[in-house]
Amino acid sequence: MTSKNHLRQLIFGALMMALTVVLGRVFNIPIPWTHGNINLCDACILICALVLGPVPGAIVGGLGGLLLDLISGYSQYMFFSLIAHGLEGFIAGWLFKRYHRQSLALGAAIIVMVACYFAADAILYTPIVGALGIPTNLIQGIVGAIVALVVVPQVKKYRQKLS
Amino acid sequence: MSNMIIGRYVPGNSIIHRLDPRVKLILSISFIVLIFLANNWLGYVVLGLFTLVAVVSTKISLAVYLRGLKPVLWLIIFTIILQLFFSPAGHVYLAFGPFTVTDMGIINACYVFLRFVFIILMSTVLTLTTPPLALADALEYMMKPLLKIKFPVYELSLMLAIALRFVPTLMDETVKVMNAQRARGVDFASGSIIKRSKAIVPILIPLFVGSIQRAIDLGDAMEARGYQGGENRTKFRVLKWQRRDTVAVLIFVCVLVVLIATRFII
Repeated sequence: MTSKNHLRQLIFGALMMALTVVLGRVFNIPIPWTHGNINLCDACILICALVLGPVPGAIVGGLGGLLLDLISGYSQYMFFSLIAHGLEGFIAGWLFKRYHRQSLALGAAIIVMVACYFAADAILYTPIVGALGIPTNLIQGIVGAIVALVVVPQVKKYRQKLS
Repeated sequence: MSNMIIGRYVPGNSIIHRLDPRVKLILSISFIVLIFLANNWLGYVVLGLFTLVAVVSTKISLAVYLRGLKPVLWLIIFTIILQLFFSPAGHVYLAFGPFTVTDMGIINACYVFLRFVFIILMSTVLTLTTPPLALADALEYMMKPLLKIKFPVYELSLMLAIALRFVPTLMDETVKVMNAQRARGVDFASGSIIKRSKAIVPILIPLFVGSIQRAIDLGDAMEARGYQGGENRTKFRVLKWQRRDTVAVLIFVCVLVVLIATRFII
């Protein structure tokens, strides 16, 4: 990889982080039966993981999640998000690279993300809070995965431009 | 729409506003550790006083803080109720069927409530008093030790800076694309989750494609100006450690010592 392409890749990664934050802040879809909101940051992370690979997926996911929490005022979660979304991106990218099955990669990534947030809530407050967060996080992950599945083929077409 | 607020920063000139962002970031994270140290009422009183002092010294009205608590209110209430009814042991006050309310349950519920309030208030103090760019600078400094294990800190901090710079730009673009779709009759604000996530797809694709183009342009522009990352780059914003930062750290350490002491007093 030449340094020029390297710089372009870095900047694209940075823009994806910014997009993660934007999608997390702009799209807040309320969930019926609960008072929770879901946001679409997972969609962006999963798309990056599938298109760019495990390591960029982890970087975009981890730092994007951290930045999102930091500027939306959930700084107590920021390092948990770094781990949760970083792992999510890494696992989605890695499983897809290895087995070439999108549904497997996305499913595993979402489960890991939900488990990480359960652990975060259980550590910060009590396991009850963690359990209450599971459905919300699961729906958020699934919606993100569905959106990712639709968008990925379109983004892949334009991906070659970057290198 | 270019002035759409991304963070929740409230400009001001209080002592907390003027603290170094690194201090604020590190202390507000360490505060979570403090909370784990409190295991009796005296500990929670100390924590409460510390939080109160921090909140009051930001000179931002209390209503702003209460607004921060509102979105998680139902979660707090639900947790407290569950904690009340499914308490492990202790003197039983009320019992109906499988639910028992014990003194342990009530105490635990109170502690969980206070934990919620303290943690949320403290993270609100951080975001209200620190502009997002300063937070990114602070993060960059905190990553510095990772250089020793060959971690690409400079590249990551470049990415963080670019990301933060482009959040408002991309937000504008998102709103623009959404408006274009709205003009064509797409409804984003109603319908089931599936319908809404379907409506989002035609927004995402132009955003991604636009980002690829922007990355190419920006990369070329930086290349043309001779950008070189790494060790010897100078910075436009330099963070300086002041005496008030040392004082803030010392106060925090005092609270830490007092908290450890409360574990032995009672």
